[in-house]
Formats: sequence, C-alpha cells, structure tokens
Amino acid sequence: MTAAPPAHDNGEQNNQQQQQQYALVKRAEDEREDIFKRYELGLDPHNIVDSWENPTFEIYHITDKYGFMHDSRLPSSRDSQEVQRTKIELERDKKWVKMLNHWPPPHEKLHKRVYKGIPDRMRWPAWKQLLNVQQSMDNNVGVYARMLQMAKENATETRQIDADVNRQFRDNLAYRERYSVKQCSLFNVLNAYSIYNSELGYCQGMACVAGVLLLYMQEEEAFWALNTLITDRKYGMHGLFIEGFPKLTRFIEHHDRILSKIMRKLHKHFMKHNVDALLYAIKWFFVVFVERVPFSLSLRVWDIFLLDGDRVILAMAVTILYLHKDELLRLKDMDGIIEYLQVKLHKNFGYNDDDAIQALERVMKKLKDLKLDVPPPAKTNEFPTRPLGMFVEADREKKTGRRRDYTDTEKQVLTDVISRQEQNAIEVQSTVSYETSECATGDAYSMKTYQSMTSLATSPAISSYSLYSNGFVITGPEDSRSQSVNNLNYHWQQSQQQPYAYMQHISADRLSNQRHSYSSDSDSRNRLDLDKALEALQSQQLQLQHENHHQQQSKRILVENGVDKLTQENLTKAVNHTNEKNYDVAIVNDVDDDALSVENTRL
Amino acid sequence: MATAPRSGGSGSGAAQRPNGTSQNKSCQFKLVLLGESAVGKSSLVLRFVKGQFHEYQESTIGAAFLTQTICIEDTVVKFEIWDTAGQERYHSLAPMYYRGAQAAIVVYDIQNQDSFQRAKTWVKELHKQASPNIVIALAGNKADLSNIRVVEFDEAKQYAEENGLLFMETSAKTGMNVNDIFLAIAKKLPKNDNNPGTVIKPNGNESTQTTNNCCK
Repeated sequence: MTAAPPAHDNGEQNNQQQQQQYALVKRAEDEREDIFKRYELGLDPHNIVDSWENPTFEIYHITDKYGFMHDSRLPSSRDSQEVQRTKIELERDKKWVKMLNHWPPPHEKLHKRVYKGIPDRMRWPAWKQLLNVQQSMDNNVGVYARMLQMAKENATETRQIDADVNRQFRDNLAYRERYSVKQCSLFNVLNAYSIYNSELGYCQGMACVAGVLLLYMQEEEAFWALNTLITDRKYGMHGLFIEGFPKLTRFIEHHDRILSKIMRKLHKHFMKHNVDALLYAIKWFFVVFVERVPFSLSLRVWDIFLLDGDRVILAMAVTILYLHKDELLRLKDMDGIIEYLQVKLHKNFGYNDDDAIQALERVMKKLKDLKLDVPPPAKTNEFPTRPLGMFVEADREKKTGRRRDYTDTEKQVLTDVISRQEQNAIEVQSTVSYETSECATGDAYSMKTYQSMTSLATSPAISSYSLYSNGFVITGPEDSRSQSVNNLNYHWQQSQQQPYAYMQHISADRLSNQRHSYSSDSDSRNRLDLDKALEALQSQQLQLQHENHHQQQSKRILVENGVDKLTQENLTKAVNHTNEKNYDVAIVNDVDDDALSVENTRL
Repeated sequence: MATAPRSGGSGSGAAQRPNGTSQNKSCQFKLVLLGESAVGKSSLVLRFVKGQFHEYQESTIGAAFLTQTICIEDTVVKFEIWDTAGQERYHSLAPMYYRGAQAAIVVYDIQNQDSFQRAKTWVKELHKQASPNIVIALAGNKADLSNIRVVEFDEAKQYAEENGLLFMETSAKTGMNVNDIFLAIAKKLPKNDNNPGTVIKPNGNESTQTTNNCCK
C-alpha cells in the first residue's frame, strides 16, 4: 500500500478543482447570456453575424476539392461514379502509403500506379519523392533561408513577382486572400529562386508552376521541387523560361514534326488558318497544361510528367489535339480554334480524366514506336552555366528594370520565329494547291486506292472518320469546295505575280525540307517523298480536270506543270522508296486510325 | 510572294462570302496590345470583347488571341486582337504579333510612371519596326484610380499629340472609354480608295481579288 499524499497538497488540489469548476460554470452562463442577447437583438444591424452563418455564404458550395471556386454551385450529392471513385482512391491511398514506405518501388509498379493517378492525399509525399525534395533539402541545409535573405536585399524581379502573385490562382481558397500564407510563400519562393538561379531570374509562368507545387507542399519544399523541375535534365524547364526560350523553339519544332506525320490534316488545317503552334503551345509547355485543361486533369498530367519527364508534355499536346481533332477541323477560323484551345478545353475537356490519360498513354506508346517520342537533344544553353546559389550582382538596367536592346539570343529568337512564319506561309500555299486539286476534282477514288495500297496494317476499327484523318483530304461539303475555288484563284494570282521565283522557291523548299528533317529521321524522308509523289499525281489529275475550264485556272496549271517536271524525278524515287519501306507509311497511317481511336470514350 | 505572310490582311471578303453578309462593307484589321506587365492589357480586351472584368485576370503567358466585330455606319469592322505578355522577357516574341498589324494599342497604368516610360519605348519600337501606316493608340489605363494617379493626363496627351497617336484614358474596370478607343481606331483605319495596295492573306481562303481598298 502506498503512502497517502501530504495533507496540504490534497487541500490545494481540491481548491484548484473548485476554481476550475467555477470558471466553467461562469463560462456557460456567459455564453447563454450572450446567445440570448443576440436573439434579442434580432435583425438589429449591431448584431454581428459571421458571413458563414448565412446561406448566402457560397464558398462552401462552389469550392471543389482542390480549393478552386466555381461560378455556380457544385452538385451537393455525389453520384454513384463519384462514390466509386472515392472508394477506389481510399484503396489507393493505402497502397501508396505502403509503397512510399518502401521507396524506391519497382519501376513497373510505380509506372502503373502513377498513370492511374496519384491519390490527391498522397501527392504531397509522392511528388516530393519524385522530385527528390528531401534529398535536396538535406544537401542544402540553410540555403533557402540564405537565398530568401539575399533576395530581400538584392532581388530585381520583385515587382514582376508581386504583380503575378497578386493574380495567380486567385480563384483558389489558398491564394484568395491578399497576403495569405500561400501568397506569401509563393512570393518568397519566387524571389529566393531568382537569386538562387540568377541566370534564369524570374519568368512569367514560373508563378503558376510554383503555385501548383505550393498547393501540395511547404514553402521550402516547393523551392527545391521548383529547382528540380528547372535544373534537372529530366524536366529541364530552365530552357523554357530562360531568355530566348531555346527549349520552346526545340519543342515547338518537334511538335510540328509530330503533327505533320500523324495528324497531317489537322496540321494543314492549322497552317491554313495561321494557327501557329506557338500560339497555343507556349502556355501548355510553360506550365504543363495548368489553366488550359481542367485542373484535375492537369494534376494527372503533372503526376506523369514528374515520373517520365518532359516528353510527356509533347505527348499530351498531341493527345489534346487528337482527342479534339474533329471539332478543331470543323472550326474554320483562327479565332474559333484558339478560343477552343485556350478557353473551352479548360472549362470542359469533353473526356473524363481517366479516358484522357489512357489516350495519353497510347499516344506515348505510339510516338515511341514511331521514334518520335524524344525530341532532338537539348543544346547547352538550355541549362544553367553558372553555379546555382552563387550571388551575382545585377547590372544597372536589370536593377532599374529599364528596357535594353535585344540581346543576340533574342535577335536569334526573332529571326527564328519570323522565318518560321514565312515557312508556314509557303507551306500553306503549297498545301492549298494540294488540297484544292482533290476538292476541285471531287474524285478522291484514286487517292483512296493509293492509300489502301500503301497501308498494310489495316485497322479493324476504320470508320468513316479514319478516312478523314490520314492526311489525304477528301472533302465534299459545299463550303470547303467554295473555299477551295478561292484558293485556286489565289494560288493562280500569286503564281502570276511571280511565277518563277515562287515555284522555284517552293520546290527548293520542298526538296530541302529543313523544317521536317533532322539527321536520324529516315521515316520523315520517306513520308515526304510520298508527298511529292502524291502531289505530282494530283497535279496531273488536276490538269486533266481543268484544262478545258476557266482561263485563269489553266494558266495556273501551266505553272503547276513546272513543279510537275521538277518533282517527276522525285516521284520515281519516292515510289521506289515506298516499296522498300512500305511498313513505315503503314504505321503512320495506322496511328491516326487505330491506335488512338478513343472516340467511343467520348462523354 | 509571302512578304508579309501573317499580316492578317485587310482584304475584303464581303462580296464572296457565302454567309449572307455580302451586302455590308466589311474589313478586317489586325490589332496588337503592347505595354508593361500588369497594366491591364488583357482586361481591356476582355472588357471590349466580352464586356467582363476580372479583378484578378491571370497573367498572359505568350499571347492570347480574340476577335471582336463592330459597326461604324455601314461598315463592319472585325478586329483580330493579339493580347501579348508584358514581361520584358517575352519582348522578343512581340514582333511576331505586331508584324503586319494595322493597329496597336500601347497601354500604361496611370499609377505607374515606369509603365508610361515603357509605353514610350513601345511606341518608338513600333515606329521603327512595324508597318509604316500602323495606327497607334495610347491608353492610360486604370483611370478609375485617377485620385492616385502619377502620370498626368496632359503630359500623356501632349506626348501622344507629338507622336501622332490617338490617346484616351481608359478603365477596364468601369468600362470607361474602352469601346471608344477601339472605335476611334476603327475610324482612323483606312477603309476607302486611298488605302494603297493591301496585303493578301497567305491562306487565301477569303477574297482572292487584289483590291485596292478593304471595303467595297
């Protein structure tokens, strides 16, 4: 038996307990009084009501699970699909917890699970693992704090960062309030990073990337995650954001290359309407589809991007265009196309996330089969050349934010962009004649036959749709016909103005085909030779059809014949090539028709 | 050929269009918005095109493209509007958008002296690099905040006059002068016979006749 505690202690304890009891009772009384008082005040304006007490407090009804607020209320009850999804996600949570505890998992397992979507609750630890955050932090203890301190004294991008933080994700609860915790974190991370990677500084777009990271991470974690995305070769965003945007140029070129091979009709449609990939793809590439597709889908793309690196960006771009090809082809002006890609898809993607990701996976596989998944290698200017974290004092222009003249890099960008535009215009013109010939004759039979001869891997799923998607334009509707007549006139006019220079330019361009070839790309050459062969066939056909028609048109054909002779040689060559490498062409056609046939998954 | 391939052109399409507008005169103009970051370029366009205003307009990455059609008397004027990113880093992409543009709105924020200086640099650049006949308007935006202005109205007006620019103070928030500035531009753009040779659209899907004027 233990000894009893000393008597005086016992008394003090009782006293304390009594006091506590008394305080509790007092509190309850005050509370009661207070509540009664409020009811007595009733609708009196002095009666202070917290905004959330009223049913007009809509935030809860319009905020989705990611914290984004919508224009109208979200459904209050969950449908069976949603319930099912929640159930699945709970199961996945458990698997992920286990997997994260035994990191790194076997690659295949990880791949499978990431493509299914990282459960939202697991994104914090999973993204940190994928981006090596913990390791970076361990290796750089104190660095972030130092960079932040240096930024306070030396950052030159603060005004721009401030302006962008003030408008980044303001429809998200985390960033809604000015100077909220997350807004401050975003501001700090970007300023600190502009010092840490002084070559890069800050570029618009980075706020969005860091903003997404901060939705899932703490401030310092987000800083190192951002650094991995920017400097790691797997993601290499440095080259996107750095002055002159070298990686943007490289990726856009590769994007064009892919389009010109597996979605030729859409590619031509875009060129015809002056929709340069630069117009829609900058944002896609710079912020990895955030604010261009629904947020939930962009997170799924981010999951995969973090796992597989920057090639995912190219594949997703193609996937989006593929999934919406029909609608895009129906839009007959630049206005509509850009609106569709910039606004409409963000609001409603038209496919659920799982279907979109499945399509992405198929596109990635197909691009790999076609050896188009990896763009040409990066140049050295896409990565930091100065050591990170080394303080470099900014020059005066930078400090004052005054405009300077173009640097050599920027001049180069300008030249590239403009020559690219001109190149497109030239291609459009040649495309116009190419398409016109079919539209005008209204006889696509020979084209179809030719195509079926070259396509060995005939897909069982060929639909009427597939005929339209192989790049050989087979049109019938009146509006395109009338357009094509205009095109014809236009073409003639152009040729009449400068017939020889024009044609020589085109043929020279076609022969060299700089935009579409890089050294290892044999498939490209075959494909283009085939083009020439077809074009020659078509212009012959066109000649027969039109010789007796308007004078204008026959004049044009005479000029076309000039091309004809030039390409005659190529025709023979191309046919030989085609016979040798038939399967290449078949694969290319096949991509459009079969492997990506996801139209059944349309919601 | 293809000397100004992406000009947007001012070729008339009225007579040939199958959509029933053949009775109206119609013209199409490419217009570009330039100016420092966060002065309200996108907001001006949003107000003009959709009549909306977002307190927190997302920052423009690259550029955005919108169109709006207005009528002046018996002429239908379609603006193809290029709204560009303001950060200096994107400067090198700007010529892609103002190249071949028939009109430009250079925007500054009346609360921000630097943005006015930047606007002047844009005007200089346009005079040097853009089409010689380009119509330039200077817009002093955020005029609803005129009680905390830094750039005086008269100062900007004088600058505009000296440089042959249209000038208005605008507010995308209240809508003040937003339609007016576009309208003023439309009025100033050549729509008659004394507009020498037009640029032909490279895609040629509209008119193919080389007209000497944009409106018939």
